[in-house]
Amino acid sequence: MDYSLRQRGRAAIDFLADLRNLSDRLEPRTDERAALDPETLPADPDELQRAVTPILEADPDFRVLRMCRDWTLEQHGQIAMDAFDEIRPDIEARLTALQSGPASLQLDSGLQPPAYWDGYEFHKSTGGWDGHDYMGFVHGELIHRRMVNPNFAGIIYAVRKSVAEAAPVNNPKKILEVGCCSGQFTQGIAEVYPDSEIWACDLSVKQLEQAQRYANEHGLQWQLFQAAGEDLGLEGNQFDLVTSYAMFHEIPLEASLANLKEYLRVLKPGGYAVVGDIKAYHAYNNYDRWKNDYWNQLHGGDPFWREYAATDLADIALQAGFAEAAWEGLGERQYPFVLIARKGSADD
Amino acid sequence: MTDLNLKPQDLDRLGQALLTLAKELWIVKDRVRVLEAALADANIIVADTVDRYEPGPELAAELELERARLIEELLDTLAPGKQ
Repeated sequence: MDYSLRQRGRAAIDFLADLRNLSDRLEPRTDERAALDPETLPADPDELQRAVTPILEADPDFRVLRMCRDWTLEQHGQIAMDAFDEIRPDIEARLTALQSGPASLQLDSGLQPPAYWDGYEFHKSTGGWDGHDYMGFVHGELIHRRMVNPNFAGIIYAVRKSVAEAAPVNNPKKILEVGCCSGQFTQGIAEVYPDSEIWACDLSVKQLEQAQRYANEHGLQWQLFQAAGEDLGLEGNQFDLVTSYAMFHEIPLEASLANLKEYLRVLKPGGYAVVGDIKAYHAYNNYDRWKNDYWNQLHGGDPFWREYAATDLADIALQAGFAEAAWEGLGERQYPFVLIARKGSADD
Repeated sequence: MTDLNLKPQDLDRLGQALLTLAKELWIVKDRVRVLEAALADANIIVADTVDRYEPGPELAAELELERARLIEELLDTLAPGKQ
């Protein structure tokens, strides 16, 4: 949807995105000064923190880098909400109109969300997923499209699409996406599989509403519904593909197992679960693993990051009952890591 | 002065205040430049014109350059690269 920010909101968002980008340049300087050989460092994340953190935190430039990252994390949600509120009178009627169209949205007023859902602020975002009446637009358009995407060299949508393309399925009839948020991965799925019936769920009402607006604007017949991946409330054996992107690292490991068991139940025999997410810890050298752990687990508002990245998701999928499972990084950068797990069929 | 007002544990808040101040300063700098551009285009002063003004590619590039300069200046002060 076309919209223009007001001067204050636009300038504040530009400032925050550029501060994040430009302060990143301090990182190679601090890496160089620390001069740590990954081969001599311990592999275990706790031991790594004990060995490396005091060295980096003694560098004043590193402390400035951390201050900048903390500040941008703590401010981004509020700055985006304020920017939205400035343009609300201009766009609210259009946003309301987009609630009608080919996409359906089924909310569950009796839903009991899992304990982890309310346990912390995701990525330190003020307001979390539902803290503003248009949090879906705020998160999808203002935070992701205008702040996060430029910090990842503009490739976040292509990365999502690459996960949809990695699924070993031909013309799947029915696809389910779990944890669809504001519909950014759903868009990639719809591009890769334009003839498939697409279902998508999330716990957040506000994010689902934004996914519905996007689908309606683009004439897409997505069937959106509110549910946790552990308890989809759907009939079994009906999907050719169940997929998810960047959700598993936001939930505890036991919820990952429960999700995969539920995906197995709703998949047709021979169907696939495809889960894209952050890079596995074993794919980093010991120093880069320390950085990933430090900035995300310890300072990024991601309390389940480490337990996800340090566990072989293929083992969890086999434990859930899948017949085959592989968990590997895509391409040269090995990012994202993708689980491809097949449900057994009568022929197995 | 034998006693300092600010203690070491106040440094984080001081840093945060500095960044907030820098953000506000940037907003004002940005606004003044947009106001100049808008006035040149329309020959009238209307606050709403500034609020809704969308910088074209040339002005956007100029603002980006100025914004980077301000941020880099700030970072150079906070983290001069010497230990």
